[in-house]
Parts: sequence; structure tokens; C-alpha cells
Amino acid sequence: MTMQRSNIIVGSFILTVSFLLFLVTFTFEGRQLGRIFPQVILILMMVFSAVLILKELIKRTRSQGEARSSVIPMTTLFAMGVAFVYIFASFIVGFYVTTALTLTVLPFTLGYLMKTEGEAQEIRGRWSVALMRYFLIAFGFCLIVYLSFTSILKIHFPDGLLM
Amino acid sequence: MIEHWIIISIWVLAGVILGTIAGVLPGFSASVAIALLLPFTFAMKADIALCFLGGVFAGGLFGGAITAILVKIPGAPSNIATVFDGYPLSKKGMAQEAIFVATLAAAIGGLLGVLTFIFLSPVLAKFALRFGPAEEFWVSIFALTTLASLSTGNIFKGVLSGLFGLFLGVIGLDPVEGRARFTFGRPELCTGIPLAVALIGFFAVSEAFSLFEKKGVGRFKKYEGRKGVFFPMLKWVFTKPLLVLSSAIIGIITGLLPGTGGSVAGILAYNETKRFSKKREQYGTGILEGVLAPETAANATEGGALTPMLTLGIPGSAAAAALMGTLTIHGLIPGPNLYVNEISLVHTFMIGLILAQFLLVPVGLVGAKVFTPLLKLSNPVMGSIVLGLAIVGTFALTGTHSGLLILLFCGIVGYFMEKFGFSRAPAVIGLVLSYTVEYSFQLSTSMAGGVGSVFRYFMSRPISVVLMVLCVLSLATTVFLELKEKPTIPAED
Repeated sequence: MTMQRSNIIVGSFILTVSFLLFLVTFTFEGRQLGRIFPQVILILMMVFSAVLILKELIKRTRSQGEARSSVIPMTTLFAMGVAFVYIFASFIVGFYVTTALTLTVLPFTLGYLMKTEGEAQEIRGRWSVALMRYFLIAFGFCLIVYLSFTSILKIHFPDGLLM
Repeated sequence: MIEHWIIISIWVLAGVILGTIAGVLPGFSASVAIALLLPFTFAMKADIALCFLGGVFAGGLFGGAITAILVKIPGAPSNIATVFDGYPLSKKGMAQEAIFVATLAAAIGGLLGVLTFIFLSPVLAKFALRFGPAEEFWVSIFALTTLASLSTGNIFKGVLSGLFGLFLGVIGLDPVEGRARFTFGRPELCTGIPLAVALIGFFAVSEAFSLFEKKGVGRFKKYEGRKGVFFPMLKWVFTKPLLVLSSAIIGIITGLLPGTGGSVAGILAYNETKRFSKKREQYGTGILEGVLAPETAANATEGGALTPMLTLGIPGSAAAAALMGTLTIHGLIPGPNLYVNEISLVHTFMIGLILAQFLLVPVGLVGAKVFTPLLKLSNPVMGSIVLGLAIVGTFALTGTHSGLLILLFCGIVGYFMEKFGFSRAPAVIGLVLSYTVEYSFQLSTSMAGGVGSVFRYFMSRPISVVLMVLCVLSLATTVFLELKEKPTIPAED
């Protein structure tokens, strides 16, 4: 997807969302003044997103700085999914267990399992060695967090199943 | 008393080291480092926290110069212009000379910037004490218009990004009436989007997602130093006072303008010194002047960016906005009143910043050898650690599930913004200014009752009129620059 096309899609998205949020402002209770500022912002967002779309539709040649691709790779979408699961699971399973698991699974999946041919790899050889190394990094991370946050700052993280 | 200063010195040193490490790692900038380390300052005293993050700011601006020189990859946007002559110098076998000059330039530029901050900010704060709601409103609008005119790449995207930040700021309770807006029945949204969480999301989490895109490891080059290089380089830097001073002035002015920072200052200083140099044809082939100018300018932005942040509550850069988050989590409100109520804190911060510039020299000289092996870390490992730190930090700050969801929301939005060419800095600055803009406008409307209309009220105040004129000029510049198709400067996030 080119940046020109993505600008039109993103512009349309902003325009639609701004319009829907603009409608929401009419549901606000209280005096008129409390809704003016959000309404002004949303109107300006609608105007500028419309200008962005129109500019892209009129523009025939792409500028050099914007000629890059804007494809979202699977690796990032996978990481976003893992982050969501991490947040929800940390309250159920427990913070330290989830953190250790996430910090092992995420780099192992993205750095080892999803490797591409000819790409520079930090860890070569057997998968068990790679997994162990990632687990040690995750364990070290949890230890530092435990010492700095739980022991020194007295911040309590969810225990989950550990309780 | 001495104990207190020893503690501060240790934290400043820790800040400079961590900032330099962040600078060395590609993708990390001063703002990302400050956002990530913000939760660690939670239990610190406000003055120590500020000095620590001031050290991170200084180190973060400089650190990227090391990789810019050694492996042609600027660790942070502020070091982009350093690549032009730094890497050719490295290829000529003069990497050590280039790194030493960059270190000295960073320290001198930073020091000049901080000195400007020290002398300018009390004057500005005293002046700002005369500000009423009308002036507060227009000065914030001026910051927003400047942000639009200086936003990188597509101006409309810059404006949209700033507006998005303003919109995020209205989520929660109305500042005057206290009625809920855009909370969709969720009580946890009534307190609005926490600035510190938004900062971590926009800068750190989105950066972690970007790191997952790039598989493999970074480029690494072993660096071996020689003896007897430092003093000749120090002597050489002092033979270039005009170059240093002009670059520092460019950096300070750039830093004062909202939304700009080290990358803009570095490129401007490089271009300007090249234009007026007798050796202009040698620029780009590997000359030390090509490293001295951008590094001085990039680091001088620190003082410039902090001046409007501390005196007016308007951050001059993304990193300054992140520093503002530190003040807010310690219950302090940046603005002229800080110079009245918390003057000892301001003075400690100023001394801490000076100390940071001096500590940059030993850290920079040693850092090239010690920190570059970190480039061997694979991107998925770094991404996972950043994501983990961001979640830990947010949990420490909010202690709630909703705080983590806001973090993820900001991280995903920040990632997509970056992906589609929307700079994240205007969004963060918009979020910072949103409350001031709305509150001052609502107060102005209430106070306008005596003179008839808000416009008349604005026109009745001279400073407000001047600011209105500046806003018009800034908008006119925006249109002019858009029509002229200004060159693209990489984003300062």
C-alpha cells in the first residue's frame, strides 16, 4: 500500500471517527461552554482530514519523502496480540509468571521461529538453547523488577494464581 | 547538605549513563528514555527525579552520535547530521577523534543551552506572572500554531496529530463544571488520560512495536581507543569559538520553538556552518567541523526546550514534554508559579543540568567502548524488554487494569501514527496543552462579561493582542511553508 493511498484511507477513518464523536458531544449534560471546545477540535479534525484526502486525490506525483511503504507486518500484529493477552493474563495468572512467559515467548517466536533466510540472527543452533537463553533474560528482567519495584519501592503487582 | 548533593550527583551520573545507552541504541531517543524511566522516579524526591531525568535528557541527545560515527546509524534523531561527516571520519580511521569532538561539542553546546535557560527562564517567568487567562489561552494557541508550522513532513498530518492530542486532553471531566465527557460510562476515564501513561505509550510502547518489525541484530563495530587524542581535540575545539557559538545559538532558538528539537537544530547548524565555511567543499568528506556543529546545536536545544516548559508550561520538545510528566507525577504544575513556590527545586534542577553536561565528557569518552556491544542485542529481545518495562512502569504509576489498557491504546495509536507519517510529538504536546487552552478560554469567557464579548476582552489586553498577532504570523508562515514545499526533516519523537 503506497503512502498516498494510505493517506486517503487514514484521512477517511479520522473523518468518520471525528464525525461520530462530534455527534456524541450533543449528549453532554450541562451548559453549552463545556461542549464548545471538544466540538471545535472535532470540526477542525474533520476539516483537516478532508483536506488531507482532497490533497492526496488531487496530487498526481508522490513526494520523495512519502514514497515509503506502510504495510503492517505480521510480527507487529502478533506482538500487539501478545501484549493484550499479557495485560489481561497478568491479573489472572499473576504478574511475574506472565512477564517471564511473555518475555520468553515473544522474542523466541519473533527472533527464532519467525526467522527469515539469510537474516542476521543473535542465536543460532538448537531451539532449546535459544529458548533457555531467552528464558534467562526474562528471569533476569523479573528479578530486577522484583528488587527495584517490589522490594525497594514497595509496589505490589498482582499475584494471581501464586496466591 | 553535602550528602544531598552527593546523592544528586550520583543520580545525574546514572541519568547520563542511561541516557547515553538509550542514545546508542537505534530507535531510542531522549524522549523514549525519559518516558521509560519516569516510573522509576516515582519514589524519588522531585528535585532528585528532575536532575536524574535531566541527565537522561543530556545523555539521550548525545548518545546516538557514537553509532552515527561508528556504524552510520544515528542512535537518535538528534544525531542525524552527525552521520554526514562522522562516518567518513570513521572510515578514514579517525573514529576516536570524531567521538571526542562530538562529546566535547555535546558538553559545550549543552552547557551554553543550560546557561541560557538559567538566565532567561527567571525573566520569562517574571513576565509570565502578569499573564491572565487571555494570555494563557493565546500563548498556548501560539505554541500549537508553531507546532503546526514546524511539524515534520506533511503539515496537515502535523496539525491532525496536535488536534488528536488536544482531543485526548478533553476526555474526562469538564475543567469548570466537572461533567463527564467521552467517558462512555466508564468511571475510570473520568480522571482523563494520565499524561505519564500517554507518554510511555506514545514513545516507548510504539517504539517496542517498531522494534518487532525489524528482526535480527543491529550493526556492531568494535571500537578501540588510542592514548593522547583527548587533549589535542580539546585544544582544537577551543580554536573554533565562532562555530561553537553560532551552532549553540541555532540550537537554543530551535529548542525554544515547540515541537522542534535536536534533529532540526543539528541539520540547520550543519547547513549554516557549511554555507559560511571556507572549507565548504570538504563537508561530507569527513571533517571535524561537520561533527562539531550539529552536536553543539543538538545538545544546546535542551536548555532552549526547558525554558518554555518550566516557565510557561509549554514543552519545547517531546523530551521536555516527557520531563513535564515527572513534574505532574510529583504534584507540581509547571509555569511561572513554580519560580515563586518551588524556587529551590528549580535551582537544584539548574545545577543538576550543569553537572550533567560536565559528566557527559567522561561518560562519552568511555561510552563508545563500553556501550556499543549492546548493539549485539536482537531487536525482538530489546522490544520485549521495552514492552515489559512500559507495562511495569504503568502498573507502578496507576496500579489499575484501565491504566494498562490506556497504555496499550496509546502505544498502538502511536505505532500507527508513526507508520502512516504522523509525528507523535505534536499529539503529546497537544495533550499537555489541552487543559490550559480550554480552562483559560472558559475563564476568559466568564471574565468577558464586563466588556461584552470574549473578543473585546482579548483585545483589551496588550500582551494578548501581541500574542494574537504572533499566532496570525505563525499561521501565515505555515501556509507559506506548505506552498513552498519545505524539505522533510525526520520526526523528533
